[in-house]
Amino acid sequence: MNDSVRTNTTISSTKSLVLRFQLSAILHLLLLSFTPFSMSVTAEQHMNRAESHSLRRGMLRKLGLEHVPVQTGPSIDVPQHMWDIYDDDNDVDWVRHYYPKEIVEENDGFILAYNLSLAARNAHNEEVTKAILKLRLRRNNKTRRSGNFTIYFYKDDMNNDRFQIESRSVDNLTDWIDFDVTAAFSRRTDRISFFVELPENVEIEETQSTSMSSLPYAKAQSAPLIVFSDLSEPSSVRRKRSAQTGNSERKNRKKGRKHHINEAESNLCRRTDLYVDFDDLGWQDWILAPKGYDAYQCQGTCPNPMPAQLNASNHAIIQSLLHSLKPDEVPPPCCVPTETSPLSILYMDVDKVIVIKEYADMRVDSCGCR
Amino acid sequence: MRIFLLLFLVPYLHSKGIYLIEDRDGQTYTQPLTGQSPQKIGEQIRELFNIDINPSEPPVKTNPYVSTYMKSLYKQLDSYEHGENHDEDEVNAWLSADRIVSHMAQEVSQRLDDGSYRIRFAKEHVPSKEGQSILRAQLRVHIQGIVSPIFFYIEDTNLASDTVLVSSKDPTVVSDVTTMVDRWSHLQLSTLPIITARASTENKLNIEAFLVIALKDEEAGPPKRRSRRAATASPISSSPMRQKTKRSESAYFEKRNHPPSKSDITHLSADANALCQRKGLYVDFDTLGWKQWVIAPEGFSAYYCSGACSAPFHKTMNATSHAIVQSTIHLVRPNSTSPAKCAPSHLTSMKILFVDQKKNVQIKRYRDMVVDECGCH
Repeated sequence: MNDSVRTNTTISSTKSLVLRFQLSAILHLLLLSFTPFSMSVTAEQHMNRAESHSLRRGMLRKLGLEHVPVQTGPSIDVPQHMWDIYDDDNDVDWVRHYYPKEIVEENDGFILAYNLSLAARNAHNEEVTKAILKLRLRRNNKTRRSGNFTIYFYKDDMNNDRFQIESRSVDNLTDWIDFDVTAAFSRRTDRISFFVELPENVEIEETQSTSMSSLPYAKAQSAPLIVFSDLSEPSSVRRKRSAQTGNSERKNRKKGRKHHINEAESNLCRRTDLYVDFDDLGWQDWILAPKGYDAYQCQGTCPNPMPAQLNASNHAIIQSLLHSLKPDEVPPPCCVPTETSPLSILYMDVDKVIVIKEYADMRVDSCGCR
Repeated sequence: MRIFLLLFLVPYLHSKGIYLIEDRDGQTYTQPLTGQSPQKIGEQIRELFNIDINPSEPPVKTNPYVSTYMKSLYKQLDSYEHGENHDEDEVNAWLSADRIVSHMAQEVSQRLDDGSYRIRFAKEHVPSKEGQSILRAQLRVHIQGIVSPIFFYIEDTNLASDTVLVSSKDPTVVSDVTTMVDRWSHLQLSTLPIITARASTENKLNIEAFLVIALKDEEAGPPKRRSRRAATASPISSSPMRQKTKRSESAYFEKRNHPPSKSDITHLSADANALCQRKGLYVDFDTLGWKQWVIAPEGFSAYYCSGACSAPFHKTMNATSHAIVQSTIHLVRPNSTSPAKCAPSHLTSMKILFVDQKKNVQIKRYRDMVVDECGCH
């Protein structure tokens, strides 16, 4: 009985594979037949492609990336606890989620080794504010005994000097157990190793993998390390926090609407709506979340004389006057963002490192003539 | 390099008022902007500067002690802005002032029988509390006729409880009177309390006194830069690049009278494909008819931003994330938004030292008046 079911599923999946192949072949043919045609029609489209490629690179560079991090190995979903951190507007500049590079089992526990390097290279003054080692464990036999869990970290790779960070007794193993390992991050390092001393008969849970290919991560997924940091860019002050909570989002919308009052003024410099869909821009392959956001934009004129509500700078007022004298030589002031706020994005760096990081200047809060 | 070349051009620009400057192929080209009479434009610019001068008349003569001191203060602020070390709190108060006004005492008495001197300021010398706050106030007393060192003591000024020793070498007594002037600004009296000073000599001294008051506009004007820029609220710029520009600028003013060697006053090229960048724009106060009234500077480089903001964004184009996002949307859906725009990403302030129509020497600061950096927004 069981056997027949299994055969059935195999067959159906083969079928769908065949179907998929056919579809993609047809699409491919379609594309091929269109390509020479479109090439001859618009050189502009090529220009656009080059331009959009360079914009995409510009955006990646803002994160310190040269290109979209290449993922090797199986695809692993973003775990729920990272979504929780992302959704919870917790005022952190940078969150990284690592799976161990190596798990070495020993008699009384196991060693977890993490490679902390990333593809993103930004010279930041990073300050680790919190580091959590998350473990999902199970007991081999049914006995309900509590035991002591002790976390050590190795001061360096060379010798086996290890320091105890936390030790506590845990009874309930059904859920994640979080250990605060912030103390291990007192200095900057690219690799970090922990030794986890376990009570008898306790071992790392193996994730029920959905595919054979994710098997190497079966244990790794039960021992992630999450590092929270603040980034202080030198010579700059902390920006406005990302407006991600529903509350401030609503406030933002309201702010935008405030300007719609007078029809006659509608052409003056002001903030208008602009929704960004990352799918639309073709950036969904690296920006896993959000799917899109309200970016807003600044549109409208900066006339001379400048009405007070346009929030013009002294320089803009002078420039506006000079433009009125010599319109061909001096451009008028521009309607541009005067206040912006950042947006937290979630992306996957190399080696399945899941990163939540702030993109500065992503959302327009107010506009003015500059 | 640009500034250096300018030195030789400036004497030719005397009747131009405002001009555009461009460096091309290692040479500097200038183009006067003012087709109309400079006076007329000067009028409009005076309005913008909200400066209490009357270029059609010669200015009233000011007390030499006051103007000398205000000039030195102006220079000092200049050097602080250019990164010279300073005692943070005290200097920052003066640096962050929107206006620094000086007022001569209305009357300083001769030596009275009890050996004291009376100093009186006019009520109108005390700034009103409306729309501004008093950051610092200083009473400066200049004493003439000191034969041998004397002790000098100023009453009523709260802080000047100490007696100071004054010699003919440095015959100025300086007293912080911030609290006193602040108190005065609340008084509803027609005349101000008289300040009494005492000197430890029976010789007749000739005393001149003036107040120097640093004021800050309550609503700090229009400079609502993005929050990051708020860090530079105090006008001390940290970037060595900026310092460099400014230094050369002041060198430029000093050397303005150098003999010209060669000049190329031609029309600027209108390069439509130029990338977003900072361009030269100089406002010459002298030819606006301000020379008599404005002691310093003789003019200023305001610059402006111009050029295209199209991908690829070069590093010098300082494109913000939002600019990149908006440009990409424009590429995908041209109708939904416009391309990014070239505008100042960082502005700095400039200050003017001038004599107002009431004979007071003032330093006035204008925020966000000079383009420091351009970028795509």
